Amino acid sequence: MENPAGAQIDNELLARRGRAEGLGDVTGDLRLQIEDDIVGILHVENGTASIQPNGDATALIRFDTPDTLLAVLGGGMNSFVAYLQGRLRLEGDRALAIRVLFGLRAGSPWTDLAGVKPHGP
Amino acid sequence: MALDTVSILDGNKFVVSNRQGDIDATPTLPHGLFLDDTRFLSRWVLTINGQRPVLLSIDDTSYDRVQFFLALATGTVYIDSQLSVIRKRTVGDGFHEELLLVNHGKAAAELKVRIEAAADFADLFEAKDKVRKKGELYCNVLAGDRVTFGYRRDNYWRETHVASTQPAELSEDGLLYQVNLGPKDSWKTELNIAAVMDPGHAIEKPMLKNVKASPRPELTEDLKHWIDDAPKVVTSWRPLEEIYRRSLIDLAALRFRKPVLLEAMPAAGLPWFMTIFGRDGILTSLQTLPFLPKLASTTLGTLGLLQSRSDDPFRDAEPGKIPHEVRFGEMTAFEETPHSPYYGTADATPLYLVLLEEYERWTGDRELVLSLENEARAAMRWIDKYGDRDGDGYIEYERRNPNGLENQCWKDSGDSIAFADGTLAPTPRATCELQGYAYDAKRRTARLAREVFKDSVWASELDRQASDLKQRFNQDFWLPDRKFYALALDGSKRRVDSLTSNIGHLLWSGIADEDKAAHCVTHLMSDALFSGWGVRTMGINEGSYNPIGYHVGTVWPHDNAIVVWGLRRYGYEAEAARLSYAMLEAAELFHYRLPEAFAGYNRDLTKYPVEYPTACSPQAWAAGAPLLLIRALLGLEAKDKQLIVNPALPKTIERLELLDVPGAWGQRDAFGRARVR
Repeated sequence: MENPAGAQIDNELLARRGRAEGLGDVTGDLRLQIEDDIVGILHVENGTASIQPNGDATALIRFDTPDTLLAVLGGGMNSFVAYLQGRLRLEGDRALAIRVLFGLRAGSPWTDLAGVKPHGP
Repeated sequence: MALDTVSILDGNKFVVSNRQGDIDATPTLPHGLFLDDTRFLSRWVLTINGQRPVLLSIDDTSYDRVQFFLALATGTVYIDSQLSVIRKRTVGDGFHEELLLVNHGKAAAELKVRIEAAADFADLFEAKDKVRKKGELYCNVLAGDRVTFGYRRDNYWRETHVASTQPAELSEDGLLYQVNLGPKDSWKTELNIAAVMDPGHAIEKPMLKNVKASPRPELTEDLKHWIDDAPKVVTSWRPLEEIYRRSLIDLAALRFRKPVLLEAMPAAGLPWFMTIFGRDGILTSLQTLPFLPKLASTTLGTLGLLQSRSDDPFRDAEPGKIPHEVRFGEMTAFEETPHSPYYGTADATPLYLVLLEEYERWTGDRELVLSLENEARAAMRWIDKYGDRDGDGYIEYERRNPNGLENQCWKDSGDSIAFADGTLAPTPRATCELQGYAYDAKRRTARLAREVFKDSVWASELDRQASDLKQRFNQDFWLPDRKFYALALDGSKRRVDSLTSNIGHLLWSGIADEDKAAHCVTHLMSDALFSGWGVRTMGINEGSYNPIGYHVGTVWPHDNAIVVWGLRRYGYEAEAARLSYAMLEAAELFHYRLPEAFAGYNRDLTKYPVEYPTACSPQAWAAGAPLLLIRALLGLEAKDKQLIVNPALPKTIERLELLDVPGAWGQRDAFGRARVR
């Protein structure tokens, strides 16, 4: 499938892999999309997170814009707030998605890409 | 809820109106159609020829529907009304209303039937104030089809769609019907009020054309299964059967589903707390575990999922902490309040561990408990690292968000933690029941560690910590002059010396020494605390006592059920039976439904318990209280996959049977006969 939205995002997003302190007990793969465009597969394992260009996933996180994706992935924007604002929707294994999104608030390889304050409004 | 309102609900979707069925919201009248903490309809007022019909009666036998029987008044008692007006309303993702007019007269009637409608989209936190919205409110009229009220603020978008089966003149003010009703003729319209979240992504539902008279039969079927699956109560004291049934129905009504929840969880209480509360969900699950174990597994799974993984001062969150409150409204969405989720509670985390162990012991469901081992370890780390803020070995709390809760225990109103002279205790506050919960959590988790997680080292360490905590607590919190435990240690480690119901929670947790427990029982059953209907939250001789103070003198049914549980734990059967019966008598007088709280006046002042003006009803842990009382009366415990029955009934309940009690044993029956004097 084409990946036009992913192409808009800095290549660093896909290249990075790193520690995610809040995900020590979580393993899984989540597809990241901006609306209907696939960005990549967020792979979480042993407290690390990375984004692969392709692969299978059990959960889908659909963002409204690249900015929201970066803000949530970087842990700067509270994912529950994004959900309430209609900027983020979940499909598939919601429990995995919620664990990962909550866990990224504790530390994320993409923190400095988001440009959003780390906690609160 | 005020007696002049009528509520129907389905989880966190609910409609509050006056007794004529009209919705007319003001800052003092919390009327409206509410979903997800948002008011989707703030005005829905019926007039006929400019008059509001008067009430004849209300049929609200089902929690999700109500019928209002009205008539058009003639202005004199000597002339009969010729027009019946019947409104049948059912709540769902909005509500459905059937409006029926019947002309009993011999002459035709020309009627202007108007329904004024408006939607203010107030967040529940705004509903008590004059609402000032930051986004754009709008209204569209689609000729011949529907009226749409809408609100948009950035991507946050909500709409209310109003449609009718009968042709109406639609306007931004509502609907107008010109009805020519012949003699003995009737006229009917069906109205659909759909609450739409995020209309840009919502699937458009057919608005009306084939609406059935009973729009939501699945709810009736679901309720039937819910009641059929619960154990049966058979007793010589018939009101108890009614109280039990009412509780089951209320607990069913309060369940709600959201995409962020694994399954249906009970909302805390109508109208202000129709959402997830960690403490309420856990205590309700504990109360109902022998009856409705599914609530406990859902609560454990969902709260474990929402357990904080980060340090977040805005939300009063630290890693491992179980959430206090989750909200879904606009103010939460834009971080004007911290409920996304908010973690300002110091007791939900230890109570989570208490529930986890109780659940495993009753159900034998080790698979779920094993799947939550990481959550259990994180919760215990929170107790030791973050709960104990200053390293003195006790849990204490102090908000980090200046707009957060000042009191992060169950008595969370601002004046609840006070010295006997009425002076408020400075923070941080280490309330006594928090230490009891922590003790119990360590003891119980030690068993899980040993038997389920297979970590004997952790188990030994937890047992050692629990023993140490108990020893220290019985020294540091005991008031030797007054012979009860201090309500709290304040920020300077001074003992807060008010007599409160919290000492009953210490009995439940098991942290009290036997000799000190005996003194506490004397206080609990004394005139200072026991009103005759129940144990007050605060003793009548304390400086802050107020019989209609939310946490400083009222009687709370859930609090009393925990006290009863504690009395049974320490072997005080007669006291437990007396207190249980008093609370059940109060329930009978509240039409079988215990409210969140009621006034603490002495029973000899009044034949009826006095209502607390803003008490939620139904309230989940008030609905759960009679179930815990039944458990305590029968002395039900689970041990080694066996159901233990050790009844202690008051003489007024000669016989009590609980049939088909589910658990690790399959299903068993429990019987009790009155032997307690």
